[in-house]
Amino acid sequence: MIKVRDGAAVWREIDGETILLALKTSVYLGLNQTGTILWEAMIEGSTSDDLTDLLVAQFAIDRGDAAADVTSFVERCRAHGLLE
Amino acid sequence: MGDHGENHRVRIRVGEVSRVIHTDLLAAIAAFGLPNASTAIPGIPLAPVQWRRLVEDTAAARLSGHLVEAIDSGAFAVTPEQARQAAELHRKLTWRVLRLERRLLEVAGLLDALGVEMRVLKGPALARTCYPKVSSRTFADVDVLVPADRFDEAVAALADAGCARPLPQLREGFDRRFGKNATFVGLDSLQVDVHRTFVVGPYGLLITLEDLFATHEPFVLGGRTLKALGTEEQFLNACYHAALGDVPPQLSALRDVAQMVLGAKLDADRARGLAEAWRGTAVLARGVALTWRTLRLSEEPPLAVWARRFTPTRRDQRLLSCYVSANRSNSLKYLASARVIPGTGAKLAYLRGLLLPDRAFLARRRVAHGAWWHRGAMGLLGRERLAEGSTELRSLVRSEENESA
Repeated sequence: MIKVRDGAAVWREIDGETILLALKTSVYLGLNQTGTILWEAMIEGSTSDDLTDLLVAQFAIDRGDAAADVTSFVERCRAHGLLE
Repeated sequence: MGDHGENHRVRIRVGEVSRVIHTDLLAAIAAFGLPNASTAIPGIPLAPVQWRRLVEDTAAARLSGHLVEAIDSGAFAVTPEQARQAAELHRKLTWRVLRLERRLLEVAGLLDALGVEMRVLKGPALARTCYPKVSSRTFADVDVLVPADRFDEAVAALADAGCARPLPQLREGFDRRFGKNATFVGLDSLQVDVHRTFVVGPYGLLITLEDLFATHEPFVLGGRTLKALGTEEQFLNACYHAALGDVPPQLSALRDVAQMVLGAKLDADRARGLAEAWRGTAVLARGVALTWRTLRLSEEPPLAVWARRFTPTRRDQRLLSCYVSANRSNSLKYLASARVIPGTGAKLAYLRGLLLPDRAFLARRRVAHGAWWHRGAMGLLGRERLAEGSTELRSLVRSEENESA
């Protein structure tokens, strides 16, 4: 399960994008529309497969590309201490 | 009629017209998205000078969220560069909001560790409990409310955590009994206000503080559940802010009032009942009426009709004038406060705090006792109101004597 850690960040969505402040590292992150979709799913908790399905459904892209995007995004979130 | 030459002709200077249009435009932005907003937004882009001024004032009035929404919807015509500038402004203010929200979580953690109950006031709470889009509502500081009997503990906790309090209280225990809030500023310049009540002066002292903790509305920030005031208490806080705060009122405060009146959650009867219990019905009416008038909202729900028709009593007129008349002053608020404080002992403690502040307070203000009194008499009251103030004091002393008898 991939889930945003409680107290890991504060964020606001502006015009389809998300601005996020990682509380552990004090780094601001800007998430584009794709990142915002994944982030919202990760707040509730999701699996890699479900996240991949989300991107495929939303953008009609190749599943392999979507899975790679999800892996990259999750790794970066984890590096900033954002995930459980 | 005699011939008065050119004197009878109406003259409007271009600058005045511009100011009126500018004020209307800001009000229109503040009202944008409300179902009954009636002020038109320009259909053609503003000239560069007007645009720059609008951006500055929008930032100061914390209306960048509404500005961006008006632009994105196509209602407010702008050039591509103006659209970019507006988005950039909102993004910049949102960064600060995120830092403030982080500070709010830190404060919540501190108070939670002490077991001090807390309610989040204004911006962070309103954004998440009243607005359809959180990003619409930005804010410039953090406000939390704590119970009066835990006020000193909360203040000490923030001081221990390294937040500076620029202005100490008048006397030991004064704020816990009579104050509005204590302001703290961190090294990062972020401001946190720890409140005991909504406003300074008589209307703040008349609020039944226990009511504010009787209910709450939860909201989630950064994965943590925090407590806002209950819906009606939150609404009344917005009304007090709108009605008794700055003159002219902050447009964001008026928007908060409108947002809640037009929302589905507010129980207007309960709000009126609470206001009556706090002897703040005139404040509620003024807050709502001012909102409808300033934002030029068209259709009036029953609460707005009631507010427009409401006539404050003479007592309320006198109390309101402490806050909003041309003669408003802290001295009048102090005197009016002394009148509403129940009990001789408490009244005397209040007056002693005002007249004999601690040395720490005076040192921070860089005044001696004599200068403080002089300022109180001449500066705060004002020369022209000295007689009025003396009459008030004599009247107060008489009422004290009667009460004692």
